[in-house]
Amino acid sequence: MKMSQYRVSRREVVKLASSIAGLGAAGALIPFGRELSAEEALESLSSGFMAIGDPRFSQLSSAALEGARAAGAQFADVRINVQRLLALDQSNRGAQRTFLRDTAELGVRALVDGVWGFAGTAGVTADNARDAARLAVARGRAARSRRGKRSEIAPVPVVREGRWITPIEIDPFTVPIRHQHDFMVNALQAAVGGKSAQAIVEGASANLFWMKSDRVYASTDGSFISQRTHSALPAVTVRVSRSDDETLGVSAYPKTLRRGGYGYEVLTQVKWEEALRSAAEEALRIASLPARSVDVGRYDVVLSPTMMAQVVVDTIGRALELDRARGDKADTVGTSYAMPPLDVLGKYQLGAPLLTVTADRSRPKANATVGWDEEGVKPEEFVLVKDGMIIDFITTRSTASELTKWYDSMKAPLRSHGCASRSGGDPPILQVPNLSIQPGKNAASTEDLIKDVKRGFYIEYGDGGTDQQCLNAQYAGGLAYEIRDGKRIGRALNLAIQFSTPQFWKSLFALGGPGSASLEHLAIDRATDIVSQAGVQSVPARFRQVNVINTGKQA
Amino acid sequence: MTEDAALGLISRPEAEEIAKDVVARAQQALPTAKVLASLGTSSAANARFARNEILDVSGSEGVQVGLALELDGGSAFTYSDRTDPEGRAALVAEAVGSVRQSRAARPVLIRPPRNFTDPPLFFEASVRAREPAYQGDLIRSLAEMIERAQLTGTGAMRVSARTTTVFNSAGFLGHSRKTYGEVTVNVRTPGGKGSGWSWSGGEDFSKITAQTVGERAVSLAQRSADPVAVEPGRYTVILEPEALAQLMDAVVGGPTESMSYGAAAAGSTVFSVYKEKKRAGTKVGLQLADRRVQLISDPMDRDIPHSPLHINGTIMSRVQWIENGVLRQLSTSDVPNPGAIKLEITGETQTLEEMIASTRRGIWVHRFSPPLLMSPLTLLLTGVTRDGTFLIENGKVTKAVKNLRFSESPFFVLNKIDSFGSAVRASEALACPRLKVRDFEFTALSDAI
Repeated sequence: MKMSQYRVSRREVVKLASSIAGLGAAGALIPFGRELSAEEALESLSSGFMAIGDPRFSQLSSAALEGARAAGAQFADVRINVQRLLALDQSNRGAQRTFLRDTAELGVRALVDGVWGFAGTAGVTADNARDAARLAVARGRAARSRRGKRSEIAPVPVVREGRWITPIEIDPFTVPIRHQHDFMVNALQAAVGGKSAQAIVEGASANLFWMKSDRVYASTDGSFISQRTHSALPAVTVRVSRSDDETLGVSAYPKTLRRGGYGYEVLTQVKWEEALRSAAEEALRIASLPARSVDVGRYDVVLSPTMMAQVVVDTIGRALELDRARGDKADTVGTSYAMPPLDVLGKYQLGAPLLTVTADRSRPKANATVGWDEEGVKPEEFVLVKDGMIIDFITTRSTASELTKWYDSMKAPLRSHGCASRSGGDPPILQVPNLSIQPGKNAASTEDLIKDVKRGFYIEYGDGGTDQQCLNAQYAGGLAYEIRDGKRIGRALNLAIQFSTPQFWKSLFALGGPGSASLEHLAIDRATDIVSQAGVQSVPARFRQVNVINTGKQA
Repeated sequence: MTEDAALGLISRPEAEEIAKDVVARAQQALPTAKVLASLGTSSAANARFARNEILDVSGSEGVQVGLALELDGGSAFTYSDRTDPEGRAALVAEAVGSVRQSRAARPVLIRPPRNFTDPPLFFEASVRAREPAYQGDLIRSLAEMIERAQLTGTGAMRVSARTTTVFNSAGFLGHSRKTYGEVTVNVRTPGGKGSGWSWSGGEDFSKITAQTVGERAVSLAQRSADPVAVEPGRYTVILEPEALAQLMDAVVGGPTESMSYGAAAAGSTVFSVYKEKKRAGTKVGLQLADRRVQLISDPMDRDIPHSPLHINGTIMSRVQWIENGVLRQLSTSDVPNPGAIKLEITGETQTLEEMIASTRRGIWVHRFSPPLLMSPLTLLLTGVTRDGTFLIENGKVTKAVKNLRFSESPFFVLNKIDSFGSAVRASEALACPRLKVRDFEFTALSDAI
């Protein structure tokens, strides 16, 4: 395929975007599959898609809420989500995939005599909204408790006119597809051609993934909240293989590429030649290192911020989902070591005093950052684990009241922490928000942590998870190094770490300092196939005497 | 109001009309393009309970209209959920614009017109099982039964109805519809030490008896109330079909990209061959498992049927992925993975009683925590047992045991077969037999319940 010589200058992209952005609707949803001239862009703003501010949001939510009331609900809320998703794949050999999806969904949740009913619909018409409302109420009636038990819903201030937009510079849905393909195919050329004595760059690929959601939350309490969130999840990979052993391939990623609440600027901000050359050099260097299958045993292990983020989400974030911890998911993913919740709070020493984990939905650029959650709650930062002790859970309005006794004893208000997610046609669910690991007090870097290890391992990235109670975990090292006398001496193959969650966190010995922190992005609900991403402000960490096993078995 | 509309489902004529209209509009804009339109609809209804109380009754409707276009060496795949004329016009405009700009290499397959017949996949009983009152009553009865046994129950019923319609620029027209439902129940003992789980699922909800599912879970919970610790190590293990299906899921699902030929050829899965550390193609033709092992997908299979219609317009027929332990086929766009596969072992089957009676010392496993991939090239998995793990000594089930972490690959397991039962539906996507396996490795004790 002939390589395109087209280069998109930042000036051109910004010019195109601002010709649309300046029109008041702040990047309204427009059909952008066509390449638009500025005049066409002006014309097409009045297309059928709905952007926040469109009066239809208000009309539809009224129809839904009135319908729910009329059918007998004591409380109802409605979520309308109009979302665009663009996924483009390229490699240094050319464009590979073009995928664009538009959805418009509406969901009504009704509380009928203390029980919940929900109905979601695709097709945002007033008739559908009313039908969904009636069905939600019928479901609420059908869900009546055997013993007259009523669901409690934690209070929330009414928000009459809430509005929040992820601050970005360039709406990726105003950058024509051809520009995006050509830009990355061109950029990826910088990775090609590199080689060393033992290794060769096989190729480079980019997966661009842009999501934009215009949505409204409204409730019979009188809240009406409009939000637009942008999510950029680009992944660029340079692949290197060893000439003498093709099972020892290495992937490296440009360090300056961000993910999260960004627009197209996340690509235009990167100096691609430098970033890719650097990634290729790193991959070649790693591939050329000696590589050895690990000897099992107990060792000190240093985890990169990326690896730490994953372990924190799996072993702490998920375990402190209140619905999970009170047993709502015992038939599916399982339960938690942190149960029963009221027996754990202020009593369960999960880890070393060094460990403090906070949660938020306000960190700039982190993917779980919003103005309000999917129940109209304005999230505030809160502390989950303080000095190793569990002191709170991840909550929503329908779960928070479980902890009333605890909040009373702490003289804290009963409120949801605003962790309801998922919008539109599916019921809101409790999800791990952004997390933050408090850095160590000293200005330690990853290298400083490694320097103190006489014999152990450093895990840059890997994959794994926990058991049904978040109690035991195992992670295989995708890229791991052997450490001897404070130095990385080679790659560690077939490495996995295995641990019991409280023992592991109690063996936390050192954390990277504030300068070593980085914002990582993870998919956080793999078991149920719900792809959502939260940001974890993470640091590297060192753990004492972790069980290291070998995954190289052949029978 | 048509029957379909009353049921909240799109009718066949309406679905076909929409798909044809989308293609016609696309052809008007791009007369020389390859055009494939698909329309998928889904209608799901669920009811959940936890700690013997209903949590909620919910459900969602979904629609996806897809338009795949290929023109002058570029292709684009565009989707929306608006089926009204204005929505279709918008979809076509986006798709046309996207393909004009795209240089993406992925081709759009255009199949010639072909007829096919669906096996029985759509059942009235499942459609009715979506009614809120029915769901509420079923869940309440389950919760009541578990409470009477002085235990704590958590579970759900989930039922869905789906339609798929495909039309392309060669005139291929296909429509299929199916229903699927499940009841899953977990039961715990008062101290929380005992836990049992059971399920039932299939296209026809009338074949599911929720009370039986509940009773099985209750029984398992009661029997697992006082677990003792056993040493990790290699054991003879009896895997219930559901537990084996959890392992087999790694063979047919994500870790192998649904048994993809392309991924295997690229060197990244358990189906890749390396000779002297160099990529050397795929394992097609190689003996991967015991000679009695068959891995089949067949639209007409009575335990795990599927529609021959694939969303890319391919008409699928019976595929023998593994025959007598030899890998025969990996998935491609011509031979796609239908997501409905049966593992069958040829030969004389044994009942559970016979398997237990002939075990001197072994462990009986009902379920695992979701297995995690440790090594893509061997498909080594790890996970922890749950919801009913028992010790067998001298031909009898003697005690409940504390859960254990395992380290195994499905392809190691399928080479250590001792005895087996007949294949049964073990999950939505798999039918598996009960399997007794030698030298199954547990690497650690777990205190997880």
